[in-house]
Amino acid sequence: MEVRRLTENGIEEFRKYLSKLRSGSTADPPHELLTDPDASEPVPGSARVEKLIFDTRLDAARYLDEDLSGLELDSIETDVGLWSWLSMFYFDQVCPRGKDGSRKPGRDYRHILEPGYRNEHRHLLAGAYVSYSVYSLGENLGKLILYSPPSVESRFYHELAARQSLVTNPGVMEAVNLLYFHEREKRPKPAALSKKQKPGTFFRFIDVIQQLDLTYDLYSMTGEEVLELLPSEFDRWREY
Amino acid sequence: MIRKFNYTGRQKIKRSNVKIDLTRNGGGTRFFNISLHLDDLDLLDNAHIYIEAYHRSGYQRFDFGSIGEKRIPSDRWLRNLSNSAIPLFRVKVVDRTFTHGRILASVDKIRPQSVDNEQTDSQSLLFVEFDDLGNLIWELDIDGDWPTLRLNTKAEEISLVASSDNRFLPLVYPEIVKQILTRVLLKDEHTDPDCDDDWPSLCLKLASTLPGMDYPPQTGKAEQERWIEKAVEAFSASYDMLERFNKSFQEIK
Repeated sequence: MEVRRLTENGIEEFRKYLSKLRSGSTADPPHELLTDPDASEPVPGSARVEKLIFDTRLDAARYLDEDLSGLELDSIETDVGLWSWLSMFYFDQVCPRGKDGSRKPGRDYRHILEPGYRNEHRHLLAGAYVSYSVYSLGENLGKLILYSPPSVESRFYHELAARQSLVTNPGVMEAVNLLYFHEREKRPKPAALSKKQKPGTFFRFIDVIQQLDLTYDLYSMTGEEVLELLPSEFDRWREY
Repeated sequence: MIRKFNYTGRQKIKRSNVKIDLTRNGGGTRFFNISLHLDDLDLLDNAHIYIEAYHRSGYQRFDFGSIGEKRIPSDRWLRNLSNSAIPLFRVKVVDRTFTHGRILASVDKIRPQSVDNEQTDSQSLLFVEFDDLGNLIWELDIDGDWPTLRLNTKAEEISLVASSDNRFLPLVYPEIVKQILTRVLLKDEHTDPDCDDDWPSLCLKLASTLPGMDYPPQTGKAEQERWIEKAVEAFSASYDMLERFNKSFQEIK
């Protein structure tokens, strides 16, 4: 299907649908909005999307990175109508039905982009796309924060994406992947998200890195060099 | 009370020693010129100078050579940043003698002094941005790098209304002052106006110097809340908010 963007009317209808879901409705998504000329409009340039199944947000980001390259927009990442349309198109993936048939959409900003520091990164598809493409994390550096299914914002993503100085820093992102991503099992290491003050855990990493960032130019370092600066409490996370 | 102490030995680059002008090409892509003076600092000749531009999800870094051999890169296009954004800038001087580059001097959150040849208020405590805000006319964003009044691009004449409408100003700006001071004083527990030149200190300093105001109480939630109320009242009085509002209705009649 040719990619479009939702208009104000379309977004309003989408909001109403999300609200109904939160009230317990099990209605199907209003997919007619995707093509209704009152609810959606063409986007400059050209891009087509297919109803693929993405196992992870990384898979979705990779696909969108390639697929949206034909659009002629100044700032793809902040186009509210575009990302709302894409969320509607992939709604079964960003808000799947549970066993009882209900959907749990969460806050609107997970599906309807809210530009700004507070919630922009929390749109499930746009957030993944920005991490992969705009921050240039790509396959290697994006695997930890985008390992979760398209409908889930992982804690790794939540903490790092909210801190622009960390998520845009290749050395820091390489270090966090080396510490907490299990290469063989292709998933985060168990217990990496243990309680905040537990030695060497992810939350401690955030605290320590923010302190080091005041003294060192972390941006010019490789992941290995960042790891060398960390205290010994992090050693065991590298080793397993 | 939260105070910031500099234990790092890092030197401070004066804001007045960094001047940035932002322009754009025919396609809209932003480009920056910079005037940077570091002569008053004691820095190693081989220390590297980096300029970083950032705005929300966008970030770009430029290598300006070393203190002894400055080199202005010809490519200063801000391709990774939205064309509609006005980015902030950071200057870092880094000792790279060892593997782990150490920051010798820095300054952050520098706003361009001109955009497209128009002077900006680079010292302003409140930036203004335009975005699609759905059904909201305005909102205050204090979660980013600098307090920003965000206005809905889809609201009619919003730029004009926000800058000069005598109904908008009295209805909105005192609330903005209240939200900012509440965030700084009550949520972040930052009470020292002289601590540094980041926005929380500057906002406290501005409020403290309004007529009839003093420095904020360091403790006591009730006292701090009263101080905020008094500051909002002093701000409104200083800018004749009630008179502006009433006058606007006389103009309508």
